[in-house]
Amino acid sequence: MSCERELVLQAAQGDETAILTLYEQHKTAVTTYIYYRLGGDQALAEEIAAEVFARMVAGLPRFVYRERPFLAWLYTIARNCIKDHYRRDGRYPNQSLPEQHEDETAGPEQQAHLTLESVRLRQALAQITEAQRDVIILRFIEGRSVAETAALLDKKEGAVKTLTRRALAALRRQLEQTPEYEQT
Amino acid sequence: MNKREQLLENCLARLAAGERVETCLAAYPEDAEWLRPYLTTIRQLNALSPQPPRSPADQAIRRQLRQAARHLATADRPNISRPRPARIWFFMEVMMKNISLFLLKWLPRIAVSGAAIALLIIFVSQFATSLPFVSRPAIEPALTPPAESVTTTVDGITITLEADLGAAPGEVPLYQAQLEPSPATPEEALAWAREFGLPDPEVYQTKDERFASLHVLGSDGRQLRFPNYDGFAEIYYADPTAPTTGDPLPFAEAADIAIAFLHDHQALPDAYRAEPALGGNGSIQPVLIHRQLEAGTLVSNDGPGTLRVGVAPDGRVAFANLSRLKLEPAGIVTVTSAQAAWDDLLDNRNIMETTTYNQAGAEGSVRYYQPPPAAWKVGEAVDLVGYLNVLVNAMTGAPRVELHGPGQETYLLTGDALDELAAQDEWGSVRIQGTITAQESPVIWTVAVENWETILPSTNSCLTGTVIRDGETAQFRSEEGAVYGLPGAPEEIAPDEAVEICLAIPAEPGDDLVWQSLVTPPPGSGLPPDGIVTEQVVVEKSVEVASAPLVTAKDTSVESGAGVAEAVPQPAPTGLPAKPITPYQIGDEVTLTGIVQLYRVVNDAGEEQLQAVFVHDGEEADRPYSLTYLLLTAPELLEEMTPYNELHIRVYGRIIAAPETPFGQMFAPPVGEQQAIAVDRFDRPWPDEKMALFLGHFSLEEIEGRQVMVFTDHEDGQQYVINPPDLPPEAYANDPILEEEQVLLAGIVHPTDRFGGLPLLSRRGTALDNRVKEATAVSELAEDYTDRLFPTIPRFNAAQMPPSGGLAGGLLPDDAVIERVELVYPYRPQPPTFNAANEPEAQLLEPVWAFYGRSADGRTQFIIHVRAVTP
Repeated sequence: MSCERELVLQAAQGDETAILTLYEQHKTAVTTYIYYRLGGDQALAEEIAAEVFARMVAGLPRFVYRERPFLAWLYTIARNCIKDHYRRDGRYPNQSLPEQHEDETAGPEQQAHLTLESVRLRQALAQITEAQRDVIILRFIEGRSVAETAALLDKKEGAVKTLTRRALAALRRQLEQTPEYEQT
Repeated sequence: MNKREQLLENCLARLAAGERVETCLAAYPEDAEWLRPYLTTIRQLNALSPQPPRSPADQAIRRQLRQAARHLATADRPNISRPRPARIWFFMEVMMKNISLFLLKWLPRIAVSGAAIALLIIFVSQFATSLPFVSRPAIEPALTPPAESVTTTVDGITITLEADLGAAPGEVPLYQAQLEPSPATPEEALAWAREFGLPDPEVYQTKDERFASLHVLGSDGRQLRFPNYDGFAEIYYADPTAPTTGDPLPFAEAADIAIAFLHDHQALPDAYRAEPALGGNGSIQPVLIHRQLEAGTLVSNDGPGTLRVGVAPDGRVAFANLSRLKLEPAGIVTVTSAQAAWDDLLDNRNIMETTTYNQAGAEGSVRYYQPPPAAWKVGEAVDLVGYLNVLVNAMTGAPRVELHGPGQETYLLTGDALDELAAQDEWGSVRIQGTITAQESPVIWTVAVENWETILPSTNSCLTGTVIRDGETAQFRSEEGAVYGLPGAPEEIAPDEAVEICLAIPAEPGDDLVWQSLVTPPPGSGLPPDGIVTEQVVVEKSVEVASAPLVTAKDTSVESGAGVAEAVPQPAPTGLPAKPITPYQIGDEVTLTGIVQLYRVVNDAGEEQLQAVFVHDGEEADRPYSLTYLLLTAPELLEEMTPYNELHIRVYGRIIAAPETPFGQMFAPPVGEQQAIAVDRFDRPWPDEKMALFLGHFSLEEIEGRQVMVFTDHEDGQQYVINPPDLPPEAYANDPILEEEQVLLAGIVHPTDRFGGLPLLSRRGTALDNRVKEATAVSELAEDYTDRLFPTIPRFNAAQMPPSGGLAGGLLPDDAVIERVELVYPYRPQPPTFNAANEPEAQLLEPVWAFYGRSADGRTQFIIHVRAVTP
């Protein structure tokens, strides 16, 4: 953690290398978080990620390091950016088919099914609460541990486990309500 | 947490460990019904992948962040307090001295071999140049919005231009640069000391006039140093009491301190830009202050063009180069547009110099270590090895003898042996046994000398092997299986990690190694070297680009815009006649006699191949050059040549085009003349020719109307003319080896050629330490010196060979991003000439376009200079 603290302090001084290092360390997490929070719009996720990191640099001189992961602050910025986007745009993002990240080992039919399953999952994710969505994204898409998730969401580990079960139950209910795509 | 949550977490852990859903459900049959949908959902979620930004967005965000960083770095901040008084290292000057010694050792051989090395690669890790890009300008440069990036592929290199190329052709000033004089008398030096507040200053002079310097030492340990020889007129400040360990300060904070320091000592330019130094690592944060001129930035590898300040972790200035340049207007010149320079770069035209820096310590890169700082106790007995630096008090004449090395430590020697030590030649190594009597600073100790002896320098003694650890103890196992103690082994070295360790003194198995550097992986293992590599490219054969001005101004009066000068291109004098062109055509059958030079080259697959270069004796009219050819033949035939490395052979074969290999490009003649010899067989025209040792001295003599270097053998009185005899007088006249009373020379007597009736002797190695000085016969030294002085077959890694041809000489990474383009005025300190009385020369500063960039992965940074003034 102390390394991250040093890095953040250097970045706050305008150290380009430190700023780019912070970006490298967190770009995937931030973009992934936004992508799934938005229901799967890659272009919009990238656009908002750019705004998140711009706000990061602008806020660095005022940032106070309190031994919480720096990423937690970025998630906070990301949540605010997403809210701003909704306020500005007045609509939810489209949920077009993803352009990439398909399983290249699958055949065409299987590929289509996987893609549609993924759309269905993302649609279901969009219907659960923000806290539930956060814990699902962090634990099962980004693969973080209970402890990491707790630190990032500023919750106790027990609370994260409880939230996990409720989030999975909620997601399951949403999936059951969402019609499956027929396989061809 | 209830039972269901606990069960769910148990199953999550088992799934994460690789178990299947069905296996987990089978473990909890009573709960399988409610668990199944959870676990199935989790599996579906696991199939969703993270979504990093795609490349275009990634690049766009990076650009945005870099610009934001610049704004942040230049934002107003609270004033910092004046830094506390600080002090030194003189490592920059020591490095210059070492480089001088290096050149002194190798220059004659380079001249003699006449190998057509078209590229000069200079490793200048201590003489770091500027690099992108954390700036802290006193004047705010206009921040141009990043241009739309343009990606081009040239010679297999993908180059993305992210910088603005808006600058149109225009007229810019020229400048004549002259080093400001540095103090040359004790009184002048003391005036500087008073200005810097050095308490109780004492002035010392170097004993060796070839490196004449004044030193002022304050009682608080701070020092000022004024080298004043061989074109140097520089000013160094140092504080050796500043801490050398700990995390370096953030650059912006260090820059504030450096700027305040320079301002307080009237050394801050009116307009400047602060940048981090390339290769800055360790605890001292180096800050480069570039002077901003009307139309561009004055830049330099080090020294007067660019001020360099090192800031210690506690905020003290650890060192500073305060040397200054006086600039005089020298006319006006028209420069090309940045767009034209970019076009030139892509077409591989007019590229003058490429500097790259590979980030040290990054994953997959080379790591260097020095021994840890010594932690002696007062009263402790010590056994030290290093080289001597002898100073003489300018007022009292009392000697001050310092022992340097093998790490960062300096030892002030005291005791009855001081006068003897002060009389020693500084070129050799000595071993000191004594007692620590005081600690002057973290890196300076006082030692009462009890015994001392001169020892063989061991600069070439490096071992390759692995580090073994047994609890707290570390050992080194060489490739041959010998085991040594390894005190101070870096903790970061993993067991069985391959390392190369270079020793301060030779060691026997079982000894504790006295080491001066450790590197992993060992050189030659395929990774690019860390640190800075500068390649100066000869753009056109008729013009010396590296150090000579390319333009001169007819009229230097530029006041009020009147009398605007017209700059005219002017080829620089080279001092040597033009190199001859090979007289052969491809396909010619030839029988040629010359010297064979062999090299072992390790290719990418780790296979070792023998390669050969043939230095044709040529005709007398060709001298002092000899034409150089690659020899291409069967590996077995090359192996047969190995006993005759550096000796004459006669080859029978035919002329062919030289292959385009890194090895070929390194040694082949200039472009357009690249030829090789396909060898069918060879023999030895003079079977008795051999390498031998000679004990004697050098002198300059006039023979046949020409000043030549003569070697006189002290054992038999035989005189030899050093080969080649017909170099320009300046090639020999300033060689400090002329002042040595006795040296040991490894050389080859030419079997037939003579000059003025004397045999020709080619130098291949020289030793000039105290033991040599005292010897009376070669036989006393042969056992210890033969292996050191006789050239061995060098080993190169093909991947590390200086590339040639292709964009910017091939030093660029495969995926390069240009981030900044600006007009700069490079100042290049003149190379050493070994003439102590040599005065600093004025230099016309020519503007060039500088392209600053990095590799896509950020590990390599580079600067390319492209000519802005075309002849």
